[in-house]
Amino acid sequence: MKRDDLCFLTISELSGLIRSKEISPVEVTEVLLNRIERLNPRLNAYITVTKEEAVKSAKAAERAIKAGKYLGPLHGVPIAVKDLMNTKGVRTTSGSKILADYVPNEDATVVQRLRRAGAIVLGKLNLHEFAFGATNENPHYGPARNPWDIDRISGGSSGGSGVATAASMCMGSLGTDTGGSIRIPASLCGIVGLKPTYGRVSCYGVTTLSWSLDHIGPMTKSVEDAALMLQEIAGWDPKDATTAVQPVPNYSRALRRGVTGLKLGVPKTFFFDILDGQVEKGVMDAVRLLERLGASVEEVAIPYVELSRSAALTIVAGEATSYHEKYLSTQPEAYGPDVRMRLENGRFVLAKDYVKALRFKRLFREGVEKVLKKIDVLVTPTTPIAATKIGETTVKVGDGTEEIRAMLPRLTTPFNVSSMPAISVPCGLTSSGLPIGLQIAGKPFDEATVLSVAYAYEQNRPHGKLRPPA
Amino acid sequence: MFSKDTLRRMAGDQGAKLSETQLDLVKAQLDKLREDLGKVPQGVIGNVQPEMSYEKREARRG
Repeated sequence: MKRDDLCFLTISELSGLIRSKEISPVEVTEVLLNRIERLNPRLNAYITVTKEEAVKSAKAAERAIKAGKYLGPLHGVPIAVKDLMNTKGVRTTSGSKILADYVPNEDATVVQRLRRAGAIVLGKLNLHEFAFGATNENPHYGPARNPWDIDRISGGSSGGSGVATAASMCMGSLGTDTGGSIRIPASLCGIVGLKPTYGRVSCYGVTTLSWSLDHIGPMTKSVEDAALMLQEIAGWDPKDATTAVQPVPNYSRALRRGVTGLKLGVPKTFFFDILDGQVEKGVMDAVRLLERLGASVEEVAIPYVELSRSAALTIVAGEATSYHEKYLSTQPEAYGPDVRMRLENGRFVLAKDYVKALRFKRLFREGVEKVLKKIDVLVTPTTPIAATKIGETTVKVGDGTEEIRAMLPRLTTPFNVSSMPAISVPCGLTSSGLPIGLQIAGKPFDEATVLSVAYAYEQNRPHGKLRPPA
Repeated sequence: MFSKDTLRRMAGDQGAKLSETQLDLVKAQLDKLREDLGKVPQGVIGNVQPEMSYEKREARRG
């Protein structure tokens, strides 16, 4: 293998080579830093690259491994994090002008846990301003560009994480997901993105968008890598009151369970109502493949799913505007126009409507849990459309014209409202060469089954590994 | 539903400087959210408590 090709390995492939001392963490870190230097001016995935710190950490990892102190599969593996996760001594902008110079004095829990596992942080990744949007068209730092076609959006809000992972500018990354912000860029950039169950991963030290709907999860090149990263970040955190005291199973061990005997539910209503024809074909081909692998498939209906987006928007409006109240009052012009308007909406949400949305949230979750008593996972498209051109606001879907900002989170937000784990895994390309995402959602705290279904599909899909031209 | 006049007054009271176009956008968005949340029959949502302790319920289970 050529030295420069190290960046194309998955975390699981690389970690084996690091463990056996065939590859040094310093070597792979240098390869990735060179690649970032070459590609970032075009793709704009990183807001900040922490070159010196990364090399220093890589040297420390190398010394530890040589001394026989191997920490596990992330030891010496270079990763990157969305730039709303606090990093001690390194600016954390949240993609905003308002926090452009904010330098935290401690790491977010997820960053701390990745470092504890030996991971090397390469830098901070671009995002939609304050994670409040699904395109990653950022007026302050520029758009993160899709490596499959740099004139197209990466999706958001974790667009930099999607681009950097897809373009092999890091081995894996972290994103956040309030209405689909991990799964949307994963779908549009052709990588794996996992939103775990609400409460599975600590949000401490991460700029909030909505306390009731925020989730943090891995964005990776393979399902196995998502399992490896989740393993390190999952679990109760005394600093985050929303984390659950739930045992964390061994996700990698659960991966190879297969799908024989599993029941897949396909919710045709709503999830397949407004959908690009090529996306529908890609997803239904994936469902048929899982069926051939031994799963059974049945059509299911999710009560009130069509109202879940409005409940989420009401909750986010109230909570985000509460968090931003000070900045919105003192420097409203510092926000980009789209984010400012979304925050202004929150000024007018009445307490009774906010509480009604939270009541809907419970009703909806219980409804989905009832459906999941009869089946093991739900299978849907991740996004109804592939990546659109930067700057476009509407898109043709079938006979109609739809707003892109409403289309992108349409099929992901229901699982933020229901709090359930959901993954996006690539399931082919459109005729224009753009990735399509398959979404698999499961029971609360059963990320293991979600990962195992995604893994079974990934190992057997006809198109193998996808790598963007950039 | 709020009238546009009410929204204009509420914006003014909170020191928010919104144009007429922006007020129209806010009104359209709020009307849509309220209309959607009103679609669940009272008999279905009437006794449902707000989801404020999901994590605690799961924690007890664990």
